[in-house]
Amino acid sequence: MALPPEPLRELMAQATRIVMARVVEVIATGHKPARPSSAATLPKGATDVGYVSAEQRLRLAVERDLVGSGARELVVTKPEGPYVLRVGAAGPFFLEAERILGRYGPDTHPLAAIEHALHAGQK
Amino acid sequence: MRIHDSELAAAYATLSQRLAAEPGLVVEGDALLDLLAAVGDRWFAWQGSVRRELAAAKSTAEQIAIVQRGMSGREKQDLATILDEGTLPLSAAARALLCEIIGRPTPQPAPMPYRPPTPASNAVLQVALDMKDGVRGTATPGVCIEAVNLTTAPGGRVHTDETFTLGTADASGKFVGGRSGALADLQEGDILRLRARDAAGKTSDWVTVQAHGLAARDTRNAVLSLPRIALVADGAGTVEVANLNEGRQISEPGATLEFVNRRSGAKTRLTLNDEGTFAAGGKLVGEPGDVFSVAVSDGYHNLDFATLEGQLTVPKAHGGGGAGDIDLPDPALHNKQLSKEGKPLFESKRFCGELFVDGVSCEDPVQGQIGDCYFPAAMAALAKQRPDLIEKMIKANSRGTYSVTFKDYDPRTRSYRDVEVEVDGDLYVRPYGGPLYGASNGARSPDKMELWFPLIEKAFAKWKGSYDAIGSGGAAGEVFEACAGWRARYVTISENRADDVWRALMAALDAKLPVAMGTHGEDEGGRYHNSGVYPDHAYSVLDCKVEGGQRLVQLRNPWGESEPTGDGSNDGVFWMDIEKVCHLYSSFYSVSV
Repeated sequence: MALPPEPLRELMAQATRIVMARVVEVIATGHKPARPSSAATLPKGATDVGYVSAEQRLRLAVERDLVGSGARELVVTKPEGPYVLRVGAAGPFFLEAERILGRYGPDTHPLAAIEHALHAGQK
Repeated sequence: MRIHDSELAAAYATLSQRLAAEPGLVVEGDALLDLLAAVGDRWFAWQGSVRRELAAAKSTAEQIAIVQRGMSGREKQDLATILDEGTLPLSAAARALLCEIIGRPTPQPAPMPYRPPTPASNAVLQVALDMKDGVRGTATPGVCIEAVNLTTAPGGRVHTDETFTLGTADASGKFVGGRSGALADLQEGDILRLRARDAAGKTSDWVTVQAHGLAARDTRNAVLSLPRIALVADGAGTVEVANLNEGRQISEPGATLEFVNRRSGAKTRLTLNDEGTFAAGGKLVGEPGDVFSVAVSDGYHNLDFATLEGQLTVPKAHGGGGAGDIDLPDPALHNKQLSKEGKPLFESKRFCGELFVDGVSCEDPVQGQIGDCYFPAAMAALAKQRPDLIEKMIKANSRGTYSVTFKDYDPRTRSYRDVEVEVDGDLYVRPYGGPLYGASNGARSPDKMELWFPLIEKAFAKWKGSYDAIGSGGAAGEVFEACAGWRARYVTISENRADDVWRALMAALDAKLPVAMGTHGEDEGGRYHNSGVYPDHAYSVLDCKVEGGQRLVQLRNPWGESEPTGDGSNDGVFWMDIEKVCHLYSSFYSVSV
């Protein structure tokens, strides 16, 4: 569902670590979620139907830390959501323990906006 | 009838003589105060001084206190006798006042179904009551039969004499109007008014009938036009009720309205006359600033008046008419913003900025926390190509509300009819005060935010039932139809048909037609990662150009931000090559004019 991303300040408050990272392995993919029931009744070309992709278990290679520090290789969970990650996908990841935050994962907020917020002391 | 108190008996006798001399007199005002003074007199406060006290009282509550201070048990019983005997023609407000004085709940007449006052015929026109096979009857041969549905008229902008043509009486004088066109929605119990018009334009008297033969029972309650009701405090503890809009109905003839004063709990029921408006002298018990909840019954539905239509506030300034600060029911929140018990998790706030600031811009609509991206995407597309249509579809009313006109398609007549939806300026807000749902670019304070987009979204939600009804997906084409009355045109995009897609986009934009594009529903294979474009999302198409040998399409994200890297200033607007468009987008909607 194409809702706007969560406000950056909310994600920054929730995250325990923020990293620039790349997906190096898709370890496992969960069951494909059911099609939204509304898909059958909405007209063709409808958007915001609410499709979500399966949960994924991923291995990330951390390129640099933005907030916090820790291992350079992480195993994380991408929850069910309106995006899919494949090997090579890269960007800023907000993490709460092993869970990727943000409605669109690393595409939720651009790096420039995150760095600007960090510079402004929002974390 | 025996009245025990001598002063009250004398006052009652004087009033009876006056009633005999002035038939049609309604007991209220001075006549009522004379009666009450006879009850409120006491030691060291004779009747005349009590009468002056009552006239000078600033509120009904004060008058009640004055009377009760001097009222004996015997006088209380006498007042109860007068009420029970029922021959004194008390106004509704006077009756309510007497009941309050003696501590009795105000009796409420049960709403009764309407019975048309006239037979279903006159010298020129006779109408059959069974309408199972259409509205039929006989009339002078050759005359045109005109009709208006008084049950549905209050929901539109129809005057009580704004008729549609039913048919023409044939050579034998027979006519029949089928169940199509204006009668397509005719239901059991609907009140129709008909007349004949001859070739010279002369019309017969009206005939009023109720539709029967269509169902086992009346199937819809009276429709109420709340914004037409004016409440005016008269400064004497009562509130006059009037129709702001001469010639248009409050509701169907005979409908009963119940007004409940939210401050005092006083209930008053008023039954509308044969014109579907208030009879003269309709009054409530209340003060300036009081809020009344309003419900309606046709005598078959909502008999307990539990289903409310909305609220009206009595203006604090005297005179001038007008309904003052109207608070209309708001469409319910999306289910994601309701608690487990169904209670709203967000408050609403009254926004009172300008409808338009520097005109209509495609950058005004901003999607909120609701899954209706198709709506702001379509509105931005329409704003780009035809801002004049948006300026015409929403108006600020003098009562502080806003009217939005949508187009409703009727497949049977293949035409659109106007549907007017009235909303107030209340919008659900986030904790920091900004709108929860649709907003406008620019300032977001309640008195500065440009209102056209969030209010049209609110009206759309109200029309469709709730924010939940519009907030779980939809199609931009539906919005184009609803706002412009043009048939939607759907075009599938294929990656190997970029030339066709380009031609179709150019043709639509050259003709100044709105276009909105949708991405694929599912992010198959991570197609959208790092693209700056999101799946299951709608975008406005603003422009096309050829530059440097590339065919470029200008798109706008209805979030008002977020776009492919390096393509813009994070205002949601960006250019994209047509080949990439055909990879990321699955279809677009435009219109056929």
